[in-house]
Amino acid sequence: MFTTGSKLLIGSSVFAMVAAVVYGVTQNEALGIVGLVSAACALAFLAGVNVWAVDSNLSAVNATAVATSEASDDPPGASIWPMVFAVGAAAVLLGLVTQQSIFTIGIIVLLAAGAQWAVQAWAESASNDSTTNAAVRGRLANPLEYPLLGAVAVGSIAYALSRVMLWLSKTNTIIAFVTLATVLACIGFIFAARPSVKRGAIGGVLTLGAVAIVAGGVAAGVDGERDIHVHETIAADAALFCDSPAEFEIDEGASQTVSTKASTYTISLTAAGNLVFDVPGPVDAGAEAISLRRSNPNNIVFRNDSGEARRLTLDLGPAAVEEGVAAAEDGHSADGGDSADEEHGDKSDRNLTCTSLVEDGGAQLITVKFDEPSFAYADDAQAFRFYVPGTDAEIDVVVP
Amino acid sequence: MTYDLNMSHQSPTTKMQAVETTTTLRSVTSSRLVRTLVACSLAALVAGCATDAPQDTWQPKGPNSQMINDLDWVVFGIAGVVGVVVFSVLAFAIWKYRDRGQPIPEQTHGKPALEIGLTILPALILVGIAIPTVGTIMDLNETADTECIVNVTGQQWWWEIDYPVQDGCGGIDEPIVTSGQMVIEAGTKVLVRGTSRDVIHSWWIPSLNGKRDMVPGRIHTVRLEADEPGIFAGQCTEFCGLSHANMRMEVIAMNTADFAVWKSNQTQDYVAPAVGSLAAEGESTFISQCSRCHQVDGLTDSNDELIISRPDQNVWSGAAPNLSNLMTRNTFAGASWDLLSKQCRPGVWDADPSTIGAAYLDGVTETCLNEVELREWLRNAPAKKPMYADPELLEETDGLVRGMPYLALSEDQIDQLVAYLLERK
Repeated sequence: MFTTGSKLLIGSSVFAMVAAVVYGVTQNEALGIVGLVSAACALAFLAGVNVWAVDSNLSAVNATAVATSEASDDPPGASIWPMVFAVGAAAVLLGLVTQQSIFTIGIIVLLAAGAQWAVQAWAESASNDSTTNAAVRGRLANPLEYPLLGAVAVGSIAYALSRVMLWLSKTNTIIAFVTLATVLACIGFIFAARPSVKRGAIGGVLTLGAVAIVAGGVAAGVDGERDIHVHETIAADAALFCDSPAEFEIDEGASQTVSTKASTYTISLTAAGNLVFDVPGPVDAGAEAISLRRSNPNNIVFRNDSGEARRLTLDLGPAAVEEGVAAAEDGHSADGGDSADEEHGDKSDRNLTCTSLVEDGGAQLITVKFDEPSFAYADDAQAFRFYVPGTDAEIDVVVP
Repeated sequence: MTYDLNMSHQSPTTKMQAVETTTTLRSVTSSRLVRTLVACSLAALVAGCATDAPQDTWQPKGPNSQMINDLDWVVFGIAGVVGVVVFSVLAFAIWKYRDRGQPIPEQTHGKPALEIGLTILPALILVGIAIPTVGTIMDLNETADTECIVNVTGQQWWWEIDYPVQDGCGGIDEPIVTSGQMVIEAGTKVLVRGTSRDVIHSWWIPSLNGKRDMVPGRIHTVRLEADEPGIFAGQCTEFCGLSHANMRMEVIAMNTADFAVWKSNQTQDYVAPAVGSLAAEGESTFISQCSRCHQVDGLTDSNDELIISRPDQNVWSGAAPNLSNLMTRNTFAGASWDLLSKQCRPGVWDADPSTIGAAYLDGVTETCLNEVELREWLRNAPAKKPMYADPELLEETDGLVRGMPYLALSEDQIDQLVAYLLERK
């Protein structure tokens, strides 16, 4: 019989080993893994010493029980766990030379099989009564087995569902899961309305459903995910997007990306086509140049009241030239077929950043940072200025 | 080891002596405790009488701090009356109904009139306090009538102060950048627009207004106005790292004419040191050792190209103080140390309002320079002001330093730099 102390040490050792595996997979950092594995080994050693020195000496733990019980003298029964243990060991060896994931799975299988094997062997020797032995085993193992198996089952179903979701088209995904939710609700309603339905029938239906979902997930996983479109971003080709008044894919729903915080500056494009800015305090509001700080993220809200969709662009000076990089790629044509790089290709040598195309009445936040003062570009008339492509509106920026 | 706390085996005489000893000890301990409490209370009381207390919140020097001060008296007055009444009733009840062996009186439950009254009364008191409080807060947040804009930016562990181009402040045609000391015109409503480059800091000049947190990515405002010329000390009041206590600042208020001179001084063209002078050697040393982070406007390299500092590539906050006019300031290193020697400092800091502007404008001369501490700073800045000097601690900032690093300058280089910096006016 394991004493409470031994259970604590064994549990702690297993926990430390699981933590080492989880840490290793997620962090991939040696020092933490070494520490956790060392802790697991130390705890396992202490557990072994405890089992050998204390737990094996049943007479010392419960002399009366030993004197009055009829210890089992049957040979150990057949067990599947040695085979599973061997599979785990093989997976560990295989994983060492192939993939980390196989190694991780092997470690988990090895630990689980070893624990089950040990518990079974220990329970079979508890008494000559197999029913009692089974109860003893269940009392020790079930509190661990049920939550773990439940988590594995739920995780498998959820993962299978996610595979199916990624396999179906967007529209079919909605239809499929609305249907699935409806079916589940109906089944639940039927079971609730008819308490006389046998438990076996309920279990059968649920098992069938779970198997169907997992099978669907496997099939969907094998077939692969649907094509998921990656949206363009301004950072991908700022020179192309920022100097164009045309609409690109990145401009969809621009105002929905506004995270307007309090206490920021505002630059507005008026109906008259002028750029004006608003800052806390009356003195420099509306001046010809806006003063922004160096080496500091400046949050600015661009508000478009011009009557047309417009973007706000900031020219930060000449871009660093990278050898072999094309000025602007084809394929980013605007509505109507005019390619923006044809119209504004001369801006590709500028370091630009901008908002998305903001519809009339909309607003969007742009965060800009200046690493150098504006006097570093005193000879460059275009540097450090906000402008609106397609209009003459512009405003200079002074960075002290 | 076991201690026998049981006195049952002792003789009656011994027991009596032990009891007396214990009583005496308790009496002595109690007496010491009372004396300590009285001494601490007196010390706290006497501290309130300090005259040399530049950060005293009870000495307003401008209309904004005066508003806060006026509100304080209202709130403390009401709170004082409430406190006196509550503690008086409590003391009376404790004394009147103390345990004298009398039987416990009949216990009753519920006095609706009293309970409702004791709910309404505090609510009315809070409303009474809220009315002037909200009014004061709204007045302090007013920006429409301000006449001068000054930007402040906090970073570990100093304040950058810049004056944007504006019609306010008597007109500013080109930006002015300084640090540690904000110069304003007395009697002018100044709007401080503050933010931070790294962590949250808090701007507080107690004599001129309350605190305002400076938060990265946000612009927070606070009004400042000084009734008359003077120097008003302040300190960062939001814990911001290792040298939080060394992150200080001052506001220097001067009259209109002096302020105009100060603005003009800050925008003077760069004057290179005389060829062959020690300061000229200092310029070379500055270019090789300091200009990566510190900007000196107008400084050029051997190709006559402007030298643009890139603190963003070297410092975690992305900024280092602009040293173009270092010697027009009175302090350095986050206003933690004086640039003026102990002999010269009182001539500026203790000057009366009519002469303080002119005294400040004199700047730091060779005879008044606090050379000892400036040299210590150049020799090993992290030893003077804690700034995460341990290289291992720079891993989390990708090697970018916080504050000024140890530069391993030779004594000759320090001599050269001191001579060069002394000319930065």
